[in-house]
Amino acid sequence: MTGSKFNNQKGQVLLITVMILATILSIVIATSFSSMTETQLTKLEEEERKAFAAAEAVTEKALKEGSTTLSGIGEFSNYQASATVDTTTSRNFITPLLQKDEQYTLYLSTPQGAPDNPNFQQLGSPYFSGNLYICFNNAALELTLIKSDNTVSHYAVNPSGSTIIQNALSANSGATNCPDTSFNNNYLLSSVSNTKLLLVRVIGGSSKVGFHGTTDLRLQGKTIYSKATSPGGATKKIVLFQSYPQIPSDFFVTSF
Amino acid sequence: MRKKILVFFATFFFLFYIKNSVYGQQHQCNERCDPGSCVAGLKCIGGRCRNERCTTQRDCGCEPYRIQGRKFIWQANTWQEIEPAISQNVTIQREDDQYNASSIENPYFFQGPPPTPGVAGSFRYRVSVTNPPGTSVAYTICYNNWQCYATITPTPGNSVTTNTNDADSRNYVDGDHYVSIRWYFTPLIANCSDLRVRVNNQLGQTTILKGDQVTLLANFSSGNGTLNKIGLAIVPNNCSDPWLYDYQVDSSTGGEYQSGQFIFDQAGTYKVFCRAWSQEGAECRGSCVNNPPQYKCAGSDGSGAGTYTEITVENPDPWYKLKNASLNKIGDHKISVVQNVKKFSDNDPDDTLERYVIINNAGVLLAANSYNPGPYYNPINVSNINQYQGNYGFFNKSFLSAYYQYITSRKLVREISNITQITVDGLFLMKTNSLTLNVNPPNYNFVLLIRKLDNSDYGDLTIDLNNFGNTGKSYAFIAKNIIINSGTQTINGIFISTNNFSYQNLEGLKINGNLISLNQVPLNNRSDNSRPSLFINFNPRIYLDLLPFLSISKYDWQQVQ
Repeated sequence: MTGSKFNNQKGQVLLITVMILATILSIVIATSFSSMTETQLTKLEEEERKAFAAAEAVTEKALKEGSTTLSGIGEFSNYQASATVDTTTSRNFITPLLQKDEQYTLYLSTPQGAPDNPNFQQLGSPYFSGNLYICFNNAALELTLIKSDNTVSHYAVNPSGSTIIQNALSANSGATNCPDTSFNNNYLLSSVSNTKLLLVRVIGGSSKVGFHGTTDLRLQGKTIYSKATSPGGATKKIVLFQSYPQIPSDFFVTSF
Repeated sequence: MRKKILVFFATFFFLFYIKNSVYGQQHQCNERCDPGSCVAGLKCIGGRCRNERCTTQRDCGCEPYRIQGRKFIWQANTWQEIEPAISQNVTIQREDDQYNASSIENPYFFQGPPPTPGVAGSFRYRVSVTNPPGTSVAYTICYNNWQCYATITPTPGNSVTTNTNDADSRNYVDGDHYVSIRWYFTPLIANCSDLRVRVNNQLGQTTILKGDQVTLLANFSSGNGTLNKIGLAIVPNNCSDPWLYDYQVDSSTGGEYQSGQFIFDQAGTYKVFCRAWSQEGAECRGSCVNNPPQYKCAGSDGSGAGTYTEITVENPDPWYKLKNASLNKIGDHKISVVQNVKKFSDNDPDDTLERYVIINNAGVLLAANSYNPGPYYNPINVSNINQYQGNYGFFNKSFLSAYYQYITSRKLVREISNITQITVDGLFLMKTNSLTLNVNPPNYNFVLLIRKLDNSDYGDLTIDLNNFGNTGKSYAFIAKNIIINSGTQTINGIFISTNNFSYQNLEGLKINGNLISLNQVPLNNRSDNSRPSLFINFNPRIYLDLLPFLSISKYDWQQVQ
C-alpha cells in the first residue's frame, strides 16, 4: 500500500515535468520562428535599400556617360543595375511648375554633339519647324524667341479674359492642342522655324507650361530610366529628367 | 386959376408917376423892372432886375463854383480810375479868356484864385480833356450833386461848357457850388479770347518739357474797335525783350487762329497771350500791356478771361532706353521724355529716333511700383505695342542670391587671382574685396564672380575703360556693387549687381549686353536730356555663348517602383 502510493506520486511529478518541458519547448520554438521571419524581412529591406541606392548610382553614372550599367562596384557587386538614356523626341513637353517670374528655356534647336555630348555654345540645326501650341494656366506669359541669327522676338500673352499685362495678346481658353487637359489656356505660335531657344517667363502667377508641336519638339534634356535588382530579387526603378541648361529669368530680364 | 392948379397937380402926379414907375427908369438889382429897364449888367427877369448868369441871386452877385471831377477808363468790364485815364490833362478856359487852368490829377479840382471856393461864378468855362490814343471819350456833367452821373448816359465828346445858372442853383441846397464832370475813356480795341496752348496735339497743359512743340490758339473778333490784325505771343515772364515768339496775321474777319509751332529750348516760366489790333489804332493784349494804345483785352468775360496764361517749361529728367529687351523696373517707372528725342549719340548705330522706352523687338515693362510714363499730354509709350504693367510688386529673384552656392556645388568653377589667368571659356571666381578692370578682358567667353576675400559676400567691381569688353567675346560679371567710372561711356557684357550699379559719365552709359541690378540705378543728367542717359542694347548672343555657365538645370525625379 505504501509503495503503490509512492509510485503514484512519482508519476505525477513526471507528468508535470513533461508538461513544463513541453511548454518551454513551445516557447523556444515560437521565438525562434519569429526571429527567423524578422531576419528574413530585414534582409529584404536592406536589399531594397541597396537596390534603390544602386539605381541612383547608375542614374548618376548615366548622367555623365549616357546609357550604362553598374556592376562589380563594392557592395553592389552582386546587383544588376542599368540605366538607359532616352533620346526619343515627342510632340509634347510639360515643364515643372514655374513660380511667379520664373522662366523655362525650351530648346527649338539642337546642341552640337547632342544627345551624347552636347555643346550648348553651338546651337543649330535641326530646328523645330511647325506650329507650336503653348499651354498654361492662370498667369501671363512672356515668350522670347532667340532666332538662328541671334535676334529676338517677344510676345506677351494674357490668360483668356484677363489683363495681367496691358496690351498683351490674349490666349485661347481651354486645353485644345495641349499636352494634357490640365491646362486652361493655349496660345499658338505659328510657323516657328530657325529658332534656337524659346524662353517662357511666367508673369503674375505660377503655372506649368505645356508645349505641343505639330512636329516633334527638339530634345529638351536627358531622360534616364534606371533599374537595379538585388541578388534576392528586390527591384527599384527610377526615372530622372535633367533639362538642358536653363537661363534663369534673374539673369535674363533687364532689371534696375 | 383952376386950370393952372389942375395942370400943376397933373404935372406933379405925372412926374411922381414917372419917377416911381418901371418905365422911364434904370432899375437896380432886384428892383421891379420892365424889360430893358435894368441897369447895365442886369436883366429884367421875372419882373426883377437880376444877373442873368445867376438869376436866383437877389444881390445879383454870382457865387463862385468849383469845377471838379474824375477820369475813368473801361477795363475789366468796369469803369476804373487807372492809367492811362487818370493822368489825362483836364483844362478849363473861361469864356473871356482871362482865366484858364489845367490839372492832371484825379480827382481834379479847379478852385479858382484863393480864397474863393471856386472859379468866378459869373463866367462859363470850357472844360476839356485829352484822351489816350485809341480811345473814345464821353462825359457826364452834374451840378451840385455829384451822384447824378449814375442816372445819366455819358455824352460823347472831350469838352463841355459849364452853365453858370446851373452851377448857381441846379440841385443846390447849401454850401459851396460845384460842377462835377466825369470823363469816360473807352479803348477802341478789338477782342481776343479762348487762348489755348496745344502741346503735341493735346490742349490745356501749362507745365511742359523743354523741347516740346507748342502751338497757340485763340479766337478773335471786333469789339469797341474793328479788328484789323491778330497776334499770339510768348514772352519772358517779366515781359522783357526779346520776345520768344510773336505771331501776327492781318485779319478783319476774326475767328479762330492758330500759330505755327514753337519749341521751347530753355526751362523757365513764360507768359503766353493773344493780341488784337483795331482799325482805330488800339491794340489789346492779354498781358504785358504797356502804354496806350495798348490796352488789356476784354476776353470772354470783359475782364480778360482767356487772353493770357503762363507756361512752365521744365527740364526733362534723365531717362533710360532699351533695345530688344524686357524690363523689370524696380521701384517706380517714372519718366518724362521730350517729344523729339535724340539718339544716345548722333552716330550710334544701335539707337534710333523712336520715342519709346524699348525700341526694336520690345518686350514687357513691369514696374514694381507705380507706372508713370510722363506728362499726360505726351506720355512715352513702352514700345510700339506698349505692353506694361504697374504696381507689379516684388520681383522674384531668389535664384540670383543662391547662384554662388549653386555653381560651387554643381558646376566647374575655377578660382583665379588675376583676370589674365583666364585662358579658356568657363566660369571663374576671383576673391577680392574690390576689383578694377582698366584693360579689356581676355579673349574667352566667361562668367566672372567677384567674391570678397573672406568669401562672405560678393565683392565690388569697377570698370575704368571706355568700350570695355569690345572684343567680340562674351562676358558676364557678377559683383556686389558695380561702378562704371566717369571716363567710360560704353561697356560690353552682362553686368549683374547684387546691390548697386552706378555710372559716373555725365554723357550717359551704353551697355551692349544686359544689366541686372537688385536695386534702382540712379540716372545722371546729361547735358542734353533729349538723349537717353542709360541705353541698354540687349544682346542675346552673350547668353548663348555663356549658356553652359550662366545657367542651371532643372530636374524631374520619380521612383516608379
